[in-house]
Amino acid sequence: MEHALTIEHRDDGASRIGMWLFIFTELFLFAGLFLVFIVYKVKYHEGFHLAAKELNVTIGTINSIILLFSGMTMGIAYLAIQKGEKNLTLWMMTITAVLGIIFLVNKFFEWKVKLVHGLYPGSPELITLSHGDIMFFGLYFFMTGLHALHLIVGLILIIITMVGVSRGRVHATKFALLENCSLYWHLVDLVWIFLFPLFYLIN
Amino acid sequence: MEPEKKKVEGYKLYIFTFTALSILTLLAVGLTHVNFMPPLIMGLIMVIAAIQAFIVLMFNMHLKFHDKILTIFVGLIFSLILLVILVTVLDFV
Repeated sequence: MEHALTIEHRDDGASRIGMWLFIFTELFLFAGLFLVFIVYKVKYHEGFHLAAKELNVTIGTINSIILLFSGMTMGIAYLAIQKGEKNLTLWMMTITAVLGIIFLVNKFFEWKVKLVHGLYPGSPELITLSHGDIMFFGLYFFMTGLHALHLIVGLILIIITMVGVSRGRVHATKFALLENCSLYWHLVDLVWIFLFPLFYLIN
Repeated sequence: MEPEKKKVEGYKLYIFTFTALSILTLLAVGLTHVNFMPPLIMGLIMVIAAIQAFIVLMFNMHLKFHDKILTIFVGLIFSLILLVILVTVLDFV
């Protein structure tokens, strides 16, 4: 009788380190943007101060809480998979994805208000305003847009991971994909933790 | 490399971190209504953001439960970012 021996090479530790290295590059990317924001804020203090008043702190706060809650559900999903609770994992990931979509919808409506008022880069209305206003809204759209793009990538990752969980490829003893997905989602969380006060609170 | 600490912690940990992060967010928003020494308030808001980042990194991103070397790397990277920001901002002040 013949036996087929398959040896799967797996190194979860290396996978985690790889993910962290990627996270470091992302941190440097956003740190560079934060630096640009801070420099222009110091340079055009008055313009930034007035422009920031156009942002809705309530929507920003609600979005922050939504994202923090999604971080909690993602954490629970990560823990549930280690305990072999497949259904709980899938439910928690679904809630995380739904919360991510709600965040994006809120962001869309927030952006829409700015677009309707002509407060977007290159608009005829914005050009008539001060240089500080132009820089503020340029950075606002670029940085929150880049963050939203990361969130969309996070949502795609969640869907891929959920397929893996439901098909049994990700389970209690093999959960590196879910761990990396969770790390990525928390990175999105981490970036927002600094974006929110910079744009909405520090005036 | 030192052995990894017990990875499977309780669900309560995530509920606690969410509660702490939410309270800190609301505290930061509340501080914007305080009309006292704006630079101090701005500094406090950024300190709150740093505490929130610390909680996310240590608990949600599990640094507390993995190799210490990762924590050291993350600490070094954040220190470098802070240093670059400080040095640049000092040029403009």
